[in-house]
Amino acid sequence: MIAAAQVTYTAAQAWSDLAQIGPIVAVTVALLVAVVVDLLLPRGLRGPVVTVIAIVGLVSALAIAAYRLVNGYGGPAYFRFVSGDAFALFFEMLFALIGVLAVIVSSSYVRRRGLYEAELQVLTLAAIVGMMSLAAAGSLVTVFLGLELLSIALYVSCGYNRIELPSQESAAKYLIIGGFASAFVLYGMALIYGATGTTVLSDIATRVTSDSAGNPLLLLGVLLMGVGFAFKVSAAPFHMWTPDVYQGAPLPVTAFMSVATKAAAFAMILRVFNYGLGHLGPEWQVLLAFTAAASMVVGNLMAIVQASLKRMLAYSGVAHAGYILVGVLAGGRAGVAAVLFYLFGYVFMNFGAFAVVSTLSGPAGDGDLYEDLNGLAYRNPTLGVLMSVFMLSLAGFPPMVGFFGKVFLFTAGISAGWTWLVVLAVLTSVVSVYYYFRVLFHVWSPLPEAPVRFAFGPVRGPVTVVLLAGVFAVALGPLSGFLLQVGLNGAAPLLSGR
Amino acid sequence: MGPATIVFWLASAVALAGGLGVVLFKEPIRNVLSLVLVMLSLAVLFLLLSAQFVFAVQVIVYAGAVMVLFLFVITLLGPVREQGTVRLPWQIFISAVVIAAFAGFLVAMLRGVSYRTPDAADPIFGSVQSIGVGLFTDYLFPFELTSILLLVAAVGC
Repeated sequence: MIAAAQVTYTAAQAWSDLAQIGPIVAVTVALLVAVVVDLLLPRGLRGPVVTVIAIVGLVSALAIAAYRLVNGYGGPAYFRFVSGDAFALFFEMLFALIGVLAVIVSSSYVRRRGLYEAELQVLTLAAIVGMMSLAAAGSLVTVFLGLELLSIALYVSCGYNRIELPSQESAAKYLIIGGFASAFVLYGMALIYGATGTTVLSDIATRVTSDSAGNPLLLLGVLLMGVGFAFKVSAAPFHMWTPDVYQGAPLPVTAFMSVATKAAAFAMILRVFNYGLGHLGPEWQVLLAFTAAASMVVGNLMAIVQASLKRMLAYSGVAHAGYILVGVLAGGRAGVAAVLFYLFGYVFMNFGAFAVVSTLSGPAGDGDLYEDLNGLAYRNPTLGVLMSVFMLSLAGFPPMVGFFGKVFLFTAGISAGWTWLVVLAVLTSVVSVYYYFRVLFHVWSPLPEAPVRFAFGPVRGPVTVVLLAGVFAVALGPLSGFLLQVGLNGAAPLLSGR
Repeated sequence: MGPATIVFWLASAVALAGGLGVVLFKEPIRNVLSLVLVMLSLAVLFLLLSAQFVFAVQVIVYAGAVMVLFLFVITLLGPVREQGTVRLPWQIFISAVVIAAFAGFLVAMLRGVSYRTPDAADPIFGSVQSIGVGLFTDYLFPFELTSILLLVAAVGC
């Protein structure tokens, strides 16, 4: 007979652990309720009710995260497999915000395109649970599960418009490339586990010292995980899937994944590389510096020649991944805070730009050519002005949030000694002005003679979102001091214990 | 070389052969049967690591249930040979070069590794009991996350 195993997990600890992951719990509960409600209600009610449930869940996650952030945040929970620290709370708030915006945009979009509403919202909630777990991860196991949860939810969302070939192509490409990238990550994690004997990041951080740099298992693990992570943030030269997937996926899905997946993947990189493998900095920095440089050059040059707005924004996303990597490379309090700040601003400007494009879609398809924007400023002045704000912010013009974000990233980069990379980043930013201004040119061009392909239907939802995102993108500029403080606060958990 | 070592090499060789079969056979039925082979030899490897429960689950769930489902689906759809056999001529060459380079790199990196001595195992290691306790204490969060993952996969189908 085998000796009885000792179980020492008490109810009090269970409650405190549950409180630590409060925001994740809120979204999960909304997800489960939505799945059941979707089965019970009559067909006509399903979509709107599920949308409301999703919004309620996300807003309560936001409230819980904000409450915990203000009233003393927590630390590790569930045997250090997950954490409720300030870093996790920062990203949980960010994902809840994007989630609300995404749910509103997709609700209006699926109605105009005649698709089912409820499933898409459920998948969005699931992706957000994955992203939050990724940002809160305390162990490589949690990192991998969060990554898979968000990826699988997004594979399905990409192919959501089943009758359209591009949507199917997008889903298939994303599935194959994503599976490939996950395999790289998993192989790398296995090697790290083999070298250290633990998957818990805080243990890895103490066991991997700078003396471990000669351990081939660790080096291979870092290399393989780095390749997988670069796939996920769509950094060059692992960005090939990005334009095709972004172009084929339904617009709200593209908007959501272009910002949320990027933020989640950077949270993962910060947790694993800057925290867990911080002592191997010189090793992974070589890898990421090359990736960052390649992303800035390739992203910006390829964005110039695109005819489709979705593809242009996809390549611009590659370039922005390069800029953000400068902050990751710089590391330290300033670098990590700059990354958090930039992600927060980037989420709103990029999502806003996609949301404007999504208002141009009708039953016939998505209007994602530059020409579809012609005269937007006169057809709908609000959207025209806000699109200009987003483009100026993406290009990094003061006083937009994009400008402050770049300033923080680049100063952190220079003070950490990455001068050549920052010079390259500034030069490529100048190139990017060309293609962002090309959008402005079309938005402010006179009304076209020929009738426009896409007239405006009832698009109140997205307009609200665009307004919200615009208000954030404009307001965050002057508020950047405050937000940087929040970012510094969020960066702290990654630096303690060194 | 003890019997465990011999079993390890045999099972590994069979697993690799099965893996090649999955990729190289053109008839879907043969791909699936090769995959069964991979699953079974992995089960043997789990048994070598004294993970009896995982061994049993691997045989019953993966080699049994999941693979039977695969076979059902394929026979229902009609076991057609792979259609698009046209490949760009340089693709095979490039992939061979990349595979050789990566394999060489792996071998070169892993030659001088001094592996850690394994941690002392729990007396109940590998039993149903230890897995049950692990799932509901140490690994509670990943376990619950996995259930959401499966739910989402079901919603997405």
